[in-house]
This record gives sequence, C-alpha cells and structure tokens, in this order.
Amino acid sequence: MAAPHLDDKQLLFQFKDPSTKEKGYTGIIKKYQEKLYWHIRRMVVEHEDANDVLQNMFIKVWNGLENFREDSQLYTWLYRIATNESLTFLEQRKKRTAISLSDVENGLSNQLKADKNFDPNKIEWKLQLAMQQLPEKQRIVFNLRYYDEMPYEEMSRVLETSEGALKASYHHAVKKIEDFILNH
Amino acid sequence: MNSSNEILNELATLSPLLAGMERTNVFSVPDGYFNTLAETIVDSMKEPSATSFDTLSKTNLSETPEGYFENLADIILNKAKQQAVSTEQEAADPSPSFNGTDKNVFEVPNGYFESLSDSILNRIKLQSVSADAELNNLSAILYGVKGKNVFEVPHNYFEGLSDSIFDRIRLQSLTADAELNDLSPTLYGIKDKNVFEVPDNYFEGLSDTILNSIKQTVSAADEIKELSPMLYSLKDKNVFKVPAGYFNTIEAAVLTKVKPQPAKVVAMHKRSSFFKYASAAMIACIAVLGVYKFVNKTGNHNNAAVAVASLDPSIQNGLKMNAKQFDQGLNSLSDDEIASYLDKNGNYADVPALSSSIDENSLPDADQYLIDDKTLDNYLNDNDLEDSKK
Repeated sequence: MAAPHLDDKQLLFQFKDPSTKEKGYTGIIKKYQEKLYWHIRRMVVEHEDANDVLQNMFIKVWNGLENFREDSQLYTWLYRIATNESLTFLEQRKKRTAISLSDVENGLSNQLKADKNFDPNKIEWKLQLAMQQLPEKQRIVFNLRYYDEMPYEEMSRVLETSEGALKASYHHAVKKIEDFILNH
Repeated sequence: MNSSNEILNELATLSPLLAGMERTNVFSVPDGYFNTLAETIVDSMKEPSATSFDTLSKTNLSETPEGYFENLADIILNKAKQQAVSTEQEAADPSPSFNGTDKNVFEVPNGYFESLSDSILNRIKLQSVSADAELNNLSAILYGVKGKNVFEVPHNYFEGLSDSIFDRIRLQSLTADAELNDLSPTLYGIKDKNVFEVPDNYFEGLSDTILNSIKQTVSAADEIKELSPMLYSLKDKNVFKVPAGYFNTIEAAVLTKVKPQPAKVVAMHKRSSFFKYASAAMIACIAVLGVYKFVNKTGNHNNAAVAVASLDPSIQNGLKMNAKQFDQGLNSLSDDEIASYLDKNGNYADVPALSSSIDENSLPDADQYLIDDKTLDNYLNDNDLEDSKK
C-alpha cells in the first residue's frame, strides 16, 4: 500500500528547502496528479493533450511555487493553473486548426466521436457530447462541481468569479446538459 | 499572712540572690522628721488659706459662683503671665538652690511666650462663638457667598416630591397591565391592535425555513441529486481510458523537463540565413498556409468545407492530427526530405511574399527553435496568422 501523502504545509516546507526541493515537488505531483489530470482531460478530451497540459502545468508549478503566498490552499492554486493551462491549450488549438469552427460542432466533439469506445446510444457518451455544447468556462464550472464536488467558495477562488455567478452558471449547465441528453 | 520564716523560705526558693542580700534602706529622711510630723500636720489644718480657691472650697459645690465664667479667662491669663514672668526671672538670675544644670537642651520658637497668651485667648473666644461668626472670622469671602446656591430645583419640586414617591411605591406593586392603564389609558386601549401582517402559515414553516438556511452550503452531491437525478446517476461512469501505468510516469517526465538538460546539437545543412528562416516558418505552418491560399482563391468562407475536400490528401491528414501527432510527423522527416518537398511544392507558398512579410528581427533565434520544439509554435501563435494573408 502506498505511503499516505504529506499534508500541504509539509510539502511546501520541503519544497522551499533547497536540500529537499525535489522531494517536496514529487510529493506534490504524486498527491495531486490524478485529480488535476482528470480535470484537464475532461476539458481537452485526448489523453496525449491532457498529458501535455498536465506536464506544462507542473513545470509552471516548479517555477512559481516559491512565490506561492499560501494565502489560499495549495489545491486551489494548482487547480487555477491547471484550468488556465487547459484554456490556453484550447485557444491555441483553435488558432492552429485550418477551418473556422462552426457553432454546433467543434473539434472536441469530433474527437469524442472518433474515440474507439464511442457509443452514441450510451448515456455517458451523450453526457460528454452535451458538455462540449457548453461555453468553456461553464464547462469548467460544471466539471469542478459535478465531478470534483468543489465547494462554491473554493471554486470562486479558482475561477475568480463570485459564488452567486458560479451557482447560477452550474444550475444552467445542468439544465442544458439534461435537455441535450433527453433530446439526443 | 504566712510567718516571716515562711516568707523568707519562699523568697529563697524564688531567688537565692535576693534572699541573701542585706536589707539596706537607701532613702534618707530629714533628721527628726517623724518626731515632728504629727505637729506639722495639725498646724497646717488650723491655718486659714489666702487664695480665692480656698474660699470656693467652703461654699456649696452645687452652685456656680456668680461671674465665674466671665472672670475665668482673665484669671487663667493672669496666672499664665505670672508664670511667664517668673520663668524669665529664673532664666535671667537662676536661684542658687536650683541644683540642676543651667543648660537647656530644648528649643522654643522665637516669640513663643510673647504670643502665647493671645493665642490662648483667641481659642477660648472661638469656642464660644457661633458657626456663622466663626466663618466670618475665618474668611469674609466665604461668609459672603454663603447664601448663593448654584443648583436649581424644578418649580414646586419639594411640594410634589412626597406624592411622586408615593406613586412609585404604589406602581411597584401593580401588574404591567394595570401599570399601563394607570400611566396611559389611551395606550392601554390600543394594546392589542397589531398593524403588521404575517404571511399565512409563516410560523408553522419557520423552523424548516431556518434549517434549510443553515444547510445552505449544500453538498455538491446533494445539489446534483436534486437538480438532476439522471446526471447524479451518471457521475461515476468514466468514458475516458488512461494508458496502464500512466500515473507512475508523470513524475519522471516532469522532472526531466524542469532540470536543465545539456543542449541538443542538431545538424543543419548550411543555407543562407534568409532561406533558413523561411523554411523554418514553412515547416510549422505548411498545411495552414496552403489552405489559406485556397480559401482566398475561392473568396468564400462558406465553401470552406468544399475547399477542404479538394485539398491534397496529405494536407487533409494533417488537419485531422492533433498537435502531438503533427509534431511527431514533422520530426520524423529528414532535412533533405523537407528541402526536396519545398523545391517541388514551392508554388504552394509565395516565398518572396512570405519573406517580405516576415520581420527577421522578430524571428526566434536559431538556437532556440532547434532546441525547443514549441518555440516556433509559440512564435506563430503570438503572430496572428490572419495578418499574413495576401
């Protein structure tokens, strides 16, 4: 059985000490990699892209963690970087694609459909297609609340948006997704 | 009393020293004192007294002589003066019979005796004056302001005070109702008339409402259960697959990137610097520029789909690739393959036009783009491709 993860304070302490910097860093990666990976993957869909974004994200952590002010949770800070990296990736990808994307279909929906396991009759795949209909920020709100069960208070720190706005966005997202699933 | 022997024995027991001492009388008595003592006493009883005090002793003590108190001060004063005179005389001419030393160790304030009589007289006088006269004697100013009161009292305060106190005592024993009625019958009369309305069943539902407010920080699971039971049921169904052992590889991969690596040396054919920049830009955006050319020719973005269909299959394949696959594809080509492609397909891109639109100074350094695959990508992303349309 794997050793339990150290708490964030201890990991940060290790990171800030030059003699244990690497140890603290790998501790942070091990503790948060899965949560952050899935958060990114739900945004970018493809594993290879998620892997790229995840690694870029952790490189930024290596460079930026020294300046982390610890006025917010480490977890919140990591999520914020992961979210921004995912959004940046999606923006860059849009710029790289040859054709301007239509409003209805986008590259990610196509990628979902291109997945070898894709089954349009299965409700869980419909859910993924439904999520791609949402604007990116709303998709993130939905992911954080639906999959990660993040409290609105914490989400507002990750996305720098008011709790009220996030709650409204989530409620709308749920409605939209449900409608899509029921109509497809 | 015990016999003398017993007393002696007692003393010997208590203090052998005292018992052993001779009883010697140290006090001397004038010669013949005791012989003449009786006669001396009788003679003194027979002689009349010359003082007025002796006269006093013969009168009835229950009565005070007339003018006694009025003369008393003078009498005492005279006595005091006599005393002072005799003391002065003694000081000036001490009597030889005075056996003690004439050196006085005690000091007396200057003028003490001269003013003593007046001081005593004043004190005697003060004792018998009224407080008013006393104040006047002490401070005429204070005596002058004595009757001036700065504190005001409401009109008829004292006249009504007893009634007010009595009312309060009476009110203490009343109920709140009776008290209100007592204080203000008008207010008592409208006591039960409530102007405020309360919604129906407000109080019945209040406890639930409050409990819900307390639970306002509803958990995400409960929230989605309420919003959409269907979505709630799908929560744990994950459609995405992850390569086996993937999570064990992340740490090592990231560490490799954050720690400085020795610079990669990439062999490059010698070309003119202009062509090197042009070909580097071309490698990164070859498919994109080609398509833009087609799009511009058709002049109609709505036919983009048609335009795509008519592209070279290799370009179509490139469009379907993700960034990683695209990079891998490019990396697999040798420099010679790239150079020969450019030679054959140079008309797909207007190289002179391209070179004129590129600012050589803003191009990334050769060292940078040779080491880091992403440098050219970042350069292209930073420069909006739309601007390069001709």
